[in-house]
Amino acid sequence: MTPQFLQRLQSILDAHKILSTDDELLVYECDGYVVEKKSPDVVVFPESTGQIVAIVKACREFRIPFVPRGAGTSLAGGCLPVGGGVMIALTRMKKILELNTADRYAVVEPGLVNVHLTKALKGTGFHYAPDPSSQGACTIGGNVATNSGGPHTLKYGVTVNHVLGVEFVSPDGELIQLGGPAGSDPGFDLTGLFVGNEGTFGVVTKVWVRLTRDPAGCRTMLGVFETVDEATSAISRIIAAGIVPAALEMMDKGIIGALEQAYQFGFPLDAEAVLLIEVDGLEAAIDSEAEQIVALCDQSGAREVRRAQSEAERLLLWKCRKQAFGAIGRLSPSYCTQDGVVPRTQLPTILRSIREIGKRYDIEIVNVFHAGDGNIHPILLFDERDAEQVSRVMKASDEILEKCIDLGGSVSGEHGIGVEKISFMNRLFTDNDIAVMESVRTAFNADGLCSPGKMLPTAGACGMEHIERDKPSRRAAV
Amino acid sequence: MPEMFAPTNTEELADRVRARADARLPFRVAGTADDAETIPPDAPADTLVMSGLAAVVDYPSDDMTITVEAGMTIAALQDTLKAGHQQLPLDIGWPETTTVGDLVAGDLHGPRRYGYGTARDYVIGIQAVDGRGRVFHSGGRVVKNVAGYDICRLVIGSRGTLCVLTQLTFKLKPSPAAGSALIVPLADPAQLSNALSTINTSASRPVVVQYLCPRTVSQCPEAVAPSSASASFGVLLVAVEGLPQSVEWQCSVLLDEFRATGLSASSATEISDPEELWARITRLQSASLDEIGILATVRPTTVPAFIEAARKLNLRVSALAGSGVVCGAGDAKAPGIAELRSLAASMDGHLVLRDPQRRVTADVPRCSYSPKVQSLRERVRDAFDPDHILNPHEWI
Repeated sequence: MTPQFLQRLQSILDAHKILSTDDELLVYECDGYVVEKKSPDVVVFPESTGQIVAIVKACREFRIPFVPRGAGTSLAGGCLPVGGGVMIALTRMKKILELNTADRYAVVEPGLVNVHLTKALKGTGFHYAPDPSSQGACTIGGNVATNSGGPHTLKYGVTVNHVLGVEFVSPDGELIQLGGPAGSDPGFDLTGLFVGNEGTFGVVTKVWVRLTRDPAGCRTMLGVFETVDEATSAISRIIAAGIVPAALEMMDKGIIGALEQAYQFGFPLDAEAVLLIEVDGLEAAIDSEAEQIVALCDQSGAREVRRAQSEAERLLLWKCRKQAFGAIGRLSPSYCTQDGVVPRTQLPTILRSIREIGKRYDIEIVNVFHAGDGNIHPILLFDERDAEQVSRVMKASDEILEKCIDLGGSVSGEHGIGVEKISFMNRLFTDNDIAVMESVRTAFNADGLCSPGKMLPTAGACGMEHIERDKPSRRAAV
Repeated sequence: MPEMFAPTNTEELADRVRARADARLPFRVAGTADDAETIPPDAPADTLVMSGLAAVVDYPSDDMTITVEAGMTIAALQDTLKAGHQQLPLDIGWPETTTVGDLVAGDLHGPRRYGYGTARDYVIGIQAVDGRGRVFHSGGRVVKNVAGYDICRLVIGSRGTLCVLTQLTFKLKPSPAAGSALIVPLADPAQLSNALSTINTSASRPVVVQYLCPRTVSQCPEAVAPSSASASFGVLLVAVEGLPQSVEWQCSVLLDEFRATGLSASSATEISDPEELWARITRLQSASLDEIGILATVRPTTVPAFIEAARKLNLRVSALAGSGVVCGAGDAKAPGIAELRSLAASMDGHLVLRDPQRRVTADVPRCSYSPKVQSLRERVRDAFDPDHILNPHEWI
């Protein structure tokens, strides 16, 4: 980070949009993945596409790595500035540029908070469907980077199903638009490829997103089960019956206690598992679907199936689910969550494995997750001040993800690989698979300066081998 | 002498591709033996036929996913899924001779795009062979998966220019219990705009919003052709699916909503064989091998104006109107097509030209990209097929 480079940044941005002192940079040393920390050399806050182009061109000229960052809610170290360099914080680019309900799209800047888009659409009859649990903080640009999901992806799909186009600054400083209001360009789907690139293909400056009609009505239920096996049996029956709920979430006894303390919803503290089930759609159909779900839960041995009697009750139930992670502080000083996926029919097996792994490593593990998709979020509770506990947590985490792979699943349903799960990529993919992905990355990011050290087991392109992670996650902890 | 080869497993296929890559010998990929018979004018003579890879690999119906080899026909897939009361709701005009690989490589879909989306919403895993003969995978068999780059989605629409697809995994939908269609006769583009606006805010949730011009209407099955009433601009076919009581309610609501805006919709007609109906509509809107075809995608509110412009070129026009997709077929000339392309661009869209006999492509490119996007496309293509041996005639 030479004085000349800093002067270049100062020629692009006002001084108050550049952070460079150690105490200022401390805030940006990690994202939601707190195990690994690395401060950038400088953080910049552009407010226009032109500024981003100039910043990226400067980084290229001075051969300085750079990483885009939204709200920093990544749980996999997606924003970690491996190798230092420039962090391009996009939080000041948060405008809604266009809302077009007649053509069913919106154009937004990358720093727009996810839920703010749906709030802006309130009353129009439309909303933006992808709803990660962090939607009160995470940004649309970050959602594009990780192909974010959320509880309602079961029916509505993930971010890639709702992105019509992106504009981005490529790592060589070119401004490129893929797709637009009418959807992807003809030929192979570069827009679809771009979603989920975890910030390694460039810096997003604009996103065209699809708008979805609000459902006419919904019915929200809480199934209460004596055992986890009965709850997973209900999940299988519902899916096998051809019902596609809008959401199907599971919470086990461990997290229920914390939620009840935090929110006083009225959860049954002696139940081993609850299912939050929501169907939405036309009033002419959803009562029938809800009745069918109740019957299937009963067949699976449910103690009871409660129905939300009011919108307020429904919203409180969802608040409990979406803010569940916030309640974990009542259980332990630290936690580590995983993001594995298994085929839905393997849920009973993976949950039994998680219980067994927790017992074997003497780690308490609670579960709150997207059961309808098979996307698990086991939460391992520990105290990070105890290195021995940290070691056991890392080993237990690894075993859980290994088991997901063994059951035909994946190591990330929505959080991304980032830096956290790079060591699993060779386990999940063959050498050819990795080589193809490296070639694709090179097509976008030939110099490897954009978000180095992410996603793939190599740092980046030739010349970037010097970039090593200071603390390669679990290896340092073990 | 042109060579035709039909491997029966992925390893054999990869070996053949590797040998051709070593010798820098291009070839084309045909889904079925029928496809292999029809060679486009500028295609390589040697053909890889996928008919030997046509099996179901895995069908855990309770997971609502299926993995099949890419040479499986759509008809065979549909038969397999019917047994589980499930569907892949991407309508194909010729299911007996279109393969799963064709569907993904061509990004094929039909009228139910409005309600069900496109291949991007269903492909969750692939196995393929790239232009170096390397077997690779992307995605998997789970419905949510963000590990690695989304090459599953990249290959959609690639027309065989990036890789030879060998296996595909799809997520599925349950088959609807019932379906019905309404017909709205249209006297002019303004009535079409009116109908689209009504549907956009309707209390119902149609799955098909399909425009058919008068020439196409005359070829439709009796069940969806208007018995009388003015239809000088064509008709809009609106279909709903779901539980029987929901279908009945939605049809009733739509009739009321259309009447309230001055449109006279016909009474609902039950759809007894949806796959056959949507396949027939898809065939009707496809250009024959002797015709020029255009496929434009524009903002939905601009569809009526685009249709009017396309009809002035004497094209037979149909449209997935709710999704902004307009198809035309006929004997258009280069200047008219270029004007349509400019019009599509002004509507934030694009236009792809289908010209099997290469009658106008000397004057009008099949598709148009910005220089930066084209440069990126070429780099991506080179990443998979550096010697350009895979379906080079399909490259734009």
